[in-house]
Amino acid sequence: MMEMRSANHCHSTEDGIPKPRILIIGLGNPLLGDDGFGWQVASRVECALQEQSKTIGEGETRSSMVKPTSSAVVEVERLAVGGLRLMEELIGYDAAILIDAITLGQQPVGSLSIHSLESLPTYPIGHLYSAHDTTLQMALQMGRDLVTKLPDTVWVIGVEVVPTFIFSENLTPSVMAAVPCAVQMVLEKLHQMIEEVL
Amino acid sequence: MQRISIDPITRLEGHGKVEIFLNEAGDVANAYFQIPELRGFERFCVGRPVEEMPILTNRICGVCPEAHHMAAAKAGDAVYHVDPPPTAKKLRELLYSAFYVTDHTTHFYALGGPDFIMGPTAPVAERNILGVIHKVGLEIGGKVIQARKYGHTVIEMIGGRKVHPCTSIPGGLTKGITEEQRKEIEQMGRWAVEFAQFSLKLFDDIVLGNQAYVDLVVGDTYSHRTYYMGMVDANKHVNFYDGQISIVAPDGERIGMYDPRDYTDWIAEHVEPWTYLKFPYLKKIGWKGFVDGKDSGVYCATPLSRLNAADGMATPRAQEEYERFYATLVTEEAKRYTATGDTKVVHHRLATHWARLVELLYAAERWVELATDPEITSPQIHTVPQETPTEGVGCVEAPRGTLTHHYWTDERGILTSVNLIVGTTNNYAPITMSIKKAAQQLIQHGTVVTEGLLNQIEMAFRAYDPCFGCATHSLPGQMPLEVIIRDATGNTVDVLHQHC
Repeated sequence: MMEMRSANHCHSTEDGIPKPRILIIGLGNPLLGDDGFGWQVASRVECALQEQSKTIGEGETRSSMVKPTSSAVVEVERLAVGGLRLMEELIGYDAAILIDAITLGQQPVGSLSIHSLESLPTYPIGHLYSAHDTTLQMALQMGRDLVTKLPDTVWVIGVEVVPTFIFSENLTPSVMAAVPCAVQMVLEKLHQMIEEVL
Repeated sequence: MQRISIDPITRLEGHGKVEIFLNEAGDVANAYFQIPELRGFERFCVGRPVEEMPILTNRICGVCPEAHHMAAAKAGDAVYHVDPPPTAKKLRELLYSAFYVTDHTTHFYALGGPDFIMGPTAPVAERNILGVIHKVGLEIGGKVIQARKYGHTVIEMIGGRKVHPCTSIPGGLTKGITEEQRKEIEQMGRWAVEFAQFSLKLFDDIVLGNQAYVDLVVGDTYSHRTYYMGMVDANKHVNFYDGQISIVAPDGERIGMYDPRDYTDWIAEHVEPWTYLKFPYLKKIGWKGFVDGKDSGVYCATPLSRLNAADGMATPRAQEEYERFYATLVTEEAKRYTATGDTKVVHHRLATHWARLVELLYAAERWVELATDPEITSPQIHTVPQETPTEGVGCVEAPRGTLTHHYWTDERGILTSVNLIVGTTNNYAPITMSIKKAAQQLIQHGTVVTEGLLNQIEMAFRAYDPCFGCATHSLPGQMPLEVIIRDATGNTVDVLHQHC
């Protein structure tokens, strides 16, 4: 069974065997318009997982999107960090999904895309980069050099946005419309990752 | 006129753009530092309860939410005319000291340090924190992560959350700490003191032990004779959390100290047509343009400024380092600029990296002082506001400069107006001046622009640790450094790219 936890809970064990831990992070600033996309998706994913965990526990119908084939601890977080700070949040996890607003400039605003972290360039895209310290890729490399346990697999689900500098708690219509699909993408990727990790 | 563009700037929070215009002789005519300003925050806040501001404003910036949290909390105290209990103030300062340790550590090892440890002309692929730990040793990386981890732990213990603190309210805090937590905080603080001393030793070995770097630091390229600003305590020692704002002139004379609530008597803002951001300057001196000197109201608010504006440090080891800093860097040449033939002011902008490490040590020592304060575990952490809210100013020293929050509310505590002067904004004029000066001395007669050369121009503002905008907005997916060179007619003759 998949176990839903809020972030920061202790590593769960069952019969003394550590459960794989997967972290889902919505990245962005919820006060800065479309930059809050990651938070909105993460919140909906969290609700979906909580609902699923409840229904599974009651022996009812399982979600069609997430098939809990085995034990895993899934945690959801919302953060506005990048670089070293983001790497530090990933310490101790086996896999991670990051949801972020990005600007690749190749697709219309509101388009969703999924990338492995390794496939992304190490220059500024969304919150994978903190100009205050370094890129997430470099921070992860540093962490691995220090023999810190970090996820082997990191996926990035992004929505194309036009960077904004005006404070607002609302997403633009095209980005808002992408939220349900992004939730589905996260859940599908999560299911795939659970099977791979296990 | 030729045009060189650096866009965006590597290792700078938010994204800015440097444009350097050359004349027909190939010399620098002008340099502009343009940044996209986050807009509408004041309007966003109006109509909200003032007690929300410590939560709301710490999302302006992903780098120093603790600074905004503290300034907003203090402004909330002032709006409600309430004085928090001593324990609440000490806990806030303890959190803030731990934050300073994490922030200054990150800047030195990830941003400023690579320029010296790897060298300003090292390939950009090596001029980063990975390069640093591979050159100096993997254990350095472990120490950096440990320092940050301890800082984050204290912030979470007192601030309630690991990234954006949420426990400060008008009148104090919503939670205190237990004796068990206090012991843990003290233990981590003692480790942080050793780490700060280690960092200063590293700076000694790598920078001060290398004559080429010393020449770079004390050379004229990275020097400006401006006014300096910084918060000081009753003994005129550096303080990050509370006190008066001290202003010293380029010759070291203290021209005044003001209560943060009187900031509008001292600070005015100049507008330029090429940028949305305003340029704060000293109102009593006046705006004379982007120029050095005692007649120019340009001031600076950085770690170096704080040391210049104070009479010393409040903790013993930091005071020793403070004295060594000035004994090393105040030159005979600097003394000649003063009426008395003596001064205690350092103008070398690259010395800001050293000043930052002196502050790192002070923050760590202060962390231990507060963790061992007999009052720190007292349950008296909140004074209930009794008066009608009106108007208030909250001010702290953010790592990047003096941070001022000014709020006005109606009788229900609902915000009617908000004004913020953020740390980096103070330094906008001197940053612009530093870029131009570095460019003028490093690009002459059409000298071919190289990657190392451009990095040295970036070094001119990196010392200020500028933080325009925040980490909390999307950044464009373009090259971190793009250089466009245009001829006198505006045609592009070359484009250079630099990757992180």
